[in-house]
Amino acid sequence: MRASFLRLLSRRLTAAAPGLAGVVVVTFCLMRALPGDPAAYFAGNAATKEAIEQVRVKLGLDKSLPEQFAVYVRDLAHGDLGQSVTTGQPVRAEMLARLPASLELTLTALLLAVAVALPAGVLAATRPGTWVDQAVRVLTTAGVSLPTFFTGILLVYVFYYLLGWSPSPTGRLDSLFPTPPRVTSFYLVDSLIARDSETFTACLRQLTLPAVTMALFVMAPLARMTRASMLGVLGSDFIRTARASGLSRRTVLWTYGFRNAMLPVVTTLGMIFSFMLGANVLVEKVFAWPGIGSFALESLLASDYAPVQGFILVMATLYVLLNLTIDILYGLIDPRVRIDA
Amino acid sequence: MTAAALRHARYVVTENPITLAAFSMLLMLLLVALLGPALAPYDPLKSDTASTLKPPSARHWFGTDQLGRDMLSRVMVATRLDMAIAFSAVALSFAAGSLAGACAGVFGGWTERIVSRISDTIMAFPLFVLAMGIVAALGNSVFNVILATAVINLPFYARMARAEANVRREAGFVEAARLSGNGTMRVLAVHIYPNCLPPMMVQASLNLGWAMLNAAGLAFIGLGVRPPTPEWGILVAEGASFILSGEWWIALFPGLALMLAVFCFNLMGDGLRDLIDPRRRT
Amino acid sequence: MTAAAPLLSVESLSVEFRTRDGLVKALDRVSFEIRRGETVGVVGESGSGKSVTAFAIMRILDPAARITGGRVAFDGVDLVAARESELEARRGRDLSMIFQNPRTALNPIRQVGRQIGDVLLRHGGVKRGEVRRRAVELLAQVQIPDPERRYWAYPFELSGGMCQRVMIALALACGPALLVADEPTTGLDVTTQAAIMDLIDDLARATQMATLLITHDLGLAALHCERIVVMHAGHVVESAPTAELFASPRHPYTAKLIAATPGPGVSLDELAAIPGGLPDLRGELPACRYSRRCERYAPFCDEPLPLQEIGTRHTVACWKPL
Repeated sequence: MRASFLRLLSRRLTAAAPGLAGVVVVTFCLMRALPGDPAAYFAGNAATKEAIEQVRVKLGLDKSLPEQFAVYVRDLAHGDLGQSVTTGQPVRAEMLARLPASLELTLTALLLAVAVALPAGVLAATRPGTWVDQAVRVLTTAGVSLPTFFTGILLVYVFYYLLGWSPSPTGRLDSLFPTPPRVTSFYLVDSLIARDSETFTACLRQLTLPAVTMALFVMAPLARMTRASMLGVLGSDFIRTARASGLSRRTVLWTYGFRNAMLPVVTTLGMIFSFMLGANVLVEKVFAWPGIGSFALESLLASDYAPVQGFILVMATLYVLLNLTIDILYGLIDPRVRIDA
Repeated sequence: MTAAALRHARYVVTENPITLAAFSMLLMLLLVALLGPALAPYDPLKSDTASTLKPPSARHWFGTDQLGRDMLSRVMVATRLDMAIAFSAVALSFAAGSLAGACAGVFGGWTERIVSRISDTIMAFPLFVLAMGIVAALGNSVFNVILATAVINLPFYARMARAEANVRREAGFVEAARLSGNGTMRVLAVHIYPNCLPPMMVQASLNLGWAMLNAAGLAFIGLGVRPPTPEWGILVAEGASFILSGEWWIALFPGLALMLAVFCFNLMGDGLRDLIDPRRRT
Repeated sequence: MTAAAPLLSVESLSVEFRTRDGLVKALDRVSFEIRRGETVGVVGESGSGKSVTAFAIMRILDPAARITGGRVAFDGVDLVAARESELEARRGRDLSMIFQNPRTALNPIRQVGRQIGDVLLRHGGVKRGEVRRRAVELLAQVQIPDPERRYWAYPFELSGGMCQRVMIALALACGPALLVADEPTTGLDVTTQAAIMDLIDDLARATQMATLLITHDLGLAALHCERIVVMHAGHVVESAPTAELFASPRHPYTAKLIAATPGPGVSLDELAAIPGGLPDLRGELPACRYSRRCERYAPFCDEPLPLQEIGTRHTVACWKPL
């Protein structure tokens, strides 16, 4: 099994390479198409023509496009994503500082969504036609129609303004609390490591609404897929054989049913991640969450384009890696992909 | 042929009561979209400093915003823009994607490789992020929003069309037609392309909802459509800052309108899918 | 001669299906019995209710199906009235089933040895450490070459014949008293068919296991069954010891079925198709469901049919037997 797994891994890595290459090229083209003259912007309002020219040379914008592309790729290979004009810091540093916030939000939302959607889907599939089933179907169709930014705002209104249960939506941690000492940069984990339960609770409270908002958005397709997949699997021949062999209901449902049903669900995760990484931007805006999404937005509005480019690159790379992980996960569950029959 | 098509369409819509309800709702929205400004009680752009931030009342069913503009009128007029963007984007990506996919499926070789490469590159990005990038790069305009939305939806249609065309190519359609003297293009246009369409219709109606959410999302973060043009995403964005001080109506009604439209598109798509391919019923 | 109490006694079993187009009366008062160690074949055209009978006995019918009458006495217990927990305990241990399409009937992402292990752990009274060894033994018993290695194989890595052998091992793992075999060789090539049937015969003989063979192939039933039950449109029309059935069929349908079955010495020209088709099982049906296809039909055929005993263990359901 180990050999087939390694073969799968190397196959998938080589398949991911063109994707990454495409991402690099497209991002380059997009950023070169941006309106305005970046040199004039960098040089400032009062700059003279010569000063602008100097800046242009310094930024390498006087070179031909293919040369610029070569420079761009070379810089990327060194991990250089350029400089942010608004903060004056290298984009890479800004991204690294803010990435944990986005990841903490996205991962928490994913865990939450999976914890709710999977059991709901299984429940609906095992009780077809009942009110449970109908409820899940209606809720998931409605859920797929929810605009993320709107649900976020509604939740803030209900839980912060009306009920006062949630803290004000202004970031990861109330300024009253010290940020926990950095180990993983995930505040929840770090506060636990530092055994600071007050900070942990405070972080959790801040995280709740944004995570729920994002989770709601992906719960629907996940539950739908789980239900449909489970229904399909439960009607298949091998389940009938398992029942005819007298295997216990639990074994039939979970070992035989659920594992097989997870295959299409794992495939759906690719699409789910695409939504989540996109929704990240919207949720971070609504809740003033200091992640890479809100940073990119601020930079965009300030015509600071290096961070925007960096943001697109990071998101796309993250997405390619996530898809790779999903493919591998799928290969682990389904031997038919691993073993060349 | 049109009579049979109409009959079939009527059957599709009336078969399932939920589909019928969704369809009726959609017709109503289309009506509002078409007649928009004529139906609106007030001028959506006209501000009235005397009655700012008024909650819903008999005079202003949806209340007024911070400039005294009537929310009902703004929401109604925004319908036209949102629907137009959604339909245009989906139509564009449907046309371009299905054509590209069908060609790729029939001709194979380099055509297929290029179409696949483009498709895969688009799909390597989280789609909303790519749309952001395109609109940011090309500039804030309605056309660019439509273009960006169309681009990110292209791969779905290309893939479906290619698969369908592939099946038919392997079934010998192309060879048979060539042997009877027809050119490949004619075969493509007359035989293969029309047969790829039905499953993609389902995809299209599901995509309409997604396209609308996409456009509204872009507007919400300040890309594409800009204020004071009424658009549901912008309206929600404008209302967002007032939620914290309790003026809920500015954000709520545009958001609900958006949800309703997307919900109807999705229900219609589900209904269509159940009818065209009952095996995939969820 | 006093007959020992039968192992399985199907008595007046009726099954209905709820469908979009109405109620389908798939089985109507089906009755037959199987003794310990006996091999009985159930034959009939596609749609005659053979598989439904098998699924009804095992109580694994589709949720849309309902048993509307009768009982299935197995080893003294009425399977129709039994609770699900009792059925779960008996299935796989006292009575087992093997299916058509062996590849799809096995879990595609679980190694075949482990699937056999699941049954052993559930019913077999085998300790965890022993399971693998016992499973490999079973694989060897069904003549799978290199069973040690094949324990770890997935169904898609095995041929159809091998998958069927695995299913047989699975079904026989706990030594059941009855094996229900639903078209076990359909879809396999002829040589493999023969090998599989011989395997079933040998194993049944070795353990005194009774077999219920469902098949549309009358020739196959003739070769391997001691008694044959003929079904038509949800009715049992005749049942008899094999030799007697072929020598003197008493039901017109049976005779036609035999005439339509190819065999050595019969040329294709001599084969006769059975006229008409199966009746629509929804709505009103005549008392004898074959009557509308029968050339011997007479008005009294519409009287409710008895199942008459006209010889030793030879029953027929006809007002005008041949």
